[in-house]
Amino acid sequence: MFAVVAGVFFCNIAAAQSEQLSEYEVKAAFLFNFTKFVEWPESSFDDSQTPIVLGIIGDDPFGDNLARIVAGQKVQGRGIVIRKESLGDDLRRCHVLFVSASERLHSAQILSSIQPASVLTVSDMDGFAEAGGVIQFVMQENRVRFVVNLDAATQNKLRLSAKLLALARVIGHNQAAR
Amino acid sequence: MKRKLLMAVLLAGSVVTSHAQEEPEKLSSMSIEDLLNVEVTSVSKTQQKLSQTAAAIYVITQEDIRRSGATNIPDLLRMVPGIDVAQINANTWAITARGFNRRYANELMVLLDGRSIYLPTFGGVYWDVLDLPLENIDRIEVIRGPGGSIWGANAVNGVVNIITKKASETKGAMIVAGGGNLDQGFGTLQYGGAAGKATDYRVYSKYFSDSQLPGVSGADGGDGWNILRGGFRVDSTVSAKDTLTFQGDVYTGRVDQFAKFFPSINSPVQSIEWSMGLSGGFFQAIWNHEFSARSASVLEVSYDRYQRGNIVNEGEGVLNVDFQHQYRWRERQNIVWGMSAYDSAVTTNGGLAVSFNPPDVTVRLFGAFAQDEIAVAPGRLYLTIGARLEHDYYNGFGLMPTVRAAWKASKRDTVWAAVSRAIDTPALNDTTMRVNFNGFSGAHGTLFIPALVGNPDAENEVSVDYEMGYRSTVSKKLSLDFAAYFDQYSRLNTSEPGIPFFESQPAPAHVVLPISDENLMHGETHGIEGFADWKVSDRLTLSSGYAFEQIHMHLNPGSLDTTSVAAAQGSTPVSSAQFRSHLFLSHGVAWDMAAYFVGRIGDPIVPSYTRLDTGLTWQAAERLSFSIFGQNLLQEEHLEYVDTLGSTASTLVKRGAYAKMRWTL
Repeated sequence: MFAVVAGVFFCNIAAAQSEQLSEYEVKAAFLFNFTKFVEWPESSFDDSQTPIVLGIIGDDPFGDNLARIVAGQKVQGRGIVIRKESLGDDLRRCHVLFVSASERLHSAQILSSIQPASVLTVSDMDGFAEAGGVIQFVMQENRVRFVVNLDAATQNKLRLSAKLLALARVIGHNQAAR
Repeated sequence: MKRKLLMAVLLAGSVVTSHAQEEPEKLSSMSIEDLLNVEVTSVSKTQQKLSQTAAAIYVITQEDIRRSGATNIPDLLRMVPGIDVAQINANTWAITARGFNRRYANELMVLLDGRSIYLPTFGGVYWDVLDLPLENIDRIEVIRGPGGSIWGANAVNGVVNIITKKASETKGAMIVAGGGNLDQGFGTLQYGGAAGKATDYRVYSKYFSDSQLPGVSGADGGDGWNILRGGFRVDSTVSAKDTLTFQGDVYTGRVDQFAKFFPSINSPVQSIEWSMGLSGGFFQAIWNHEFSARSASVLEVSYDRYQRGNIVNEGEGVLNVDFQHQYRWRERQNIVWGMSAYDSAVTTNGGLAVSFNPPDVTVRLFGAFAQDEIAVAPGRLYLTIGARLEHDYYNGFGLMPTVRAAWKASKRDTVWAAVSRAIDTPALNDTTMRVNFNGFSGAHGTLFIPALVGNPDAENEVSVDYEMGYRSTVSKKLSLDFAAYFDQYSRLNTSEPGIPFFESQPAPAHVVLPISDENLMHGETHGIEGFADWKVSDRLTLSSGYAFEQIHMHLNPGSLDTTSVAAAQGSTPVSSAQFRSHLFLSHGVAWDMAAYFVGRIGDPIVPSYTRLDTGLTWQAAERLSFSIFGQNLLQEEHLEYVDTLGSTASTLVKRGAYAKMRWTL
């Protein structure tokens, strides 16, 4: 008798051809795009060939969308690798870390465990940016928008491009100073 | 979020979506500005699954709700091809799918977040109190055709499943306010926030006051009404595997209607203006638990209570407990089973016109269902076998099985077919209700009172439904959906004259000429329903729908019924059609238009009519919008339905207009 049970009749055909893009396809494309607009400190990479590590902690909502998008792509001359992380892993090896909503109860722990390191933290859980995450996705009228916490970016020694900031809703004290 | 994941698990069994190669390639080349402009399907997994459903399903999205200009749920349902929505008066509707529409239409199951709004006791839905801020609805899933194998008795011809947004999706304050000539004033105040890291909530209050409509004879309809409601929802992530939802509301209001009234047994029935107080509320708790990626459960407990100051002053308290478990077994099977219990305590205090005997009754229902979806050829052919066994108050056990198949003929096309058996259990209206009509004097001054007298032995109505459908995504811009059905009904209710009996009370003594429910009618219905969505451009979307239905009823030998065949055959229009358009103009202004043609109803005769609604919405700022809507613009007024039992007087649906603003902050 639940909403979910409407699904009971639903045939389980996985290869559904949606003509519209799903939320996580678009968010996956955003994640890839963010890497183009962020400068990490040189110490974040062993050498100029070191790939950008894109970590996902918690339940992976992207399916294989993210892997397909980043496959064969080079950003700032670096390849991109995707890593599935769990609590307790050394998250500081990630350059971008997507915190899945399944980790809601552990988000503070995750955010503190990446210190000190330059990790671009991204999530779509509510209040993530205010709680110290760098980028938070928000849905608005079925479109994906994002909020940037400039303080968190500065603290993580990440330099975000002005273009990215222009497209974001920016929060943080720096915003007031600008 | 967890809940969303669980939904995905329940729907897909796995959180995997795979797409054609070209999409991610295109995605990787999209700029960040492009991405900001991409409109995503907010319920993508659900919708993907919907496109493969082996049932005639239609989904009303929040966007559809915003564009419709509807201010109540009945008006929203008009957009679903194959759903008959007929407004009886300002506050009363007859709504069903696939035939047999009436004030107490007992073939349509209606659920709000899994809680049954349909009342098995009175065999209908009180649409006037099915009310919530429409902005909080995530979507409405409407299934035409039988859903008894899951939802139980009375989901004979359709299921309406209203799903509200999670509290995390309605954060911040929202103010909605508006008014017009019919919806004279309405408003919603809402605030949503977080309590700690893992809990979100919203609280809201909604009020509306609707004016009366013109009566059929030209006088005022005396059917104005208002309701004030307050409610809340709390969603809490208790652990990585558990989420809890609590929600509830309370309401109070006043509904005016003309109602039948007998001052005494030997005086003629009068139609009097009746002002009834309405009050009620509910509380619901939902616990979602994920055992593993393959296994998840939902437990729901709810208590509903209402009091209606109508001519029988009815009240009801309903306790419902429902449990479901889904398990993916090996690679090819998706098993869902569940159990439910329903306990309803009804109180009435009737009068001479209408009464129940006994006045108070407790009705209990138990049900259990199981269903297995088998991937016969994964990705191509799926077979679903399921059944629900239900124990009802009057007729004991009833079985509702279904067999469904979906064949994905190509990437774009799905063909489905289903055979189901559904049952419709008797309601108190059939079993214990007594309705007295105008008496007359016979020879020697004897007073005769014709009356409907409930039959405690009323049987379940049974239907066997054969359906098939075809769905196609012809192109990125055009999608089509067709369904056809042939339903066989047996043991349908008839009104049979009984043996006259003598009654000394109420005085003066009189002879009752009883008419009782018997199950002496059978018949067939057949019809088609279709709709098409065409996204002409980024700015223009067109939708159209059509439904055709014929009902053929026959009396069993021995029946003396003279009205039921005509009433059933003439209960719904043969044809109905609709056309809707959404045009985005510029500067945040969108223009919406919807036209609905509803064919003639045969018994009692209601002429065909066309309803035209149109409106402009201006998104003045990100968080502020204004809209103006006109409704029923083609005619000054029109009749939509006449309640054959005569307990509710019809009024005329009138041309209306309103303005509204919505401010979120």
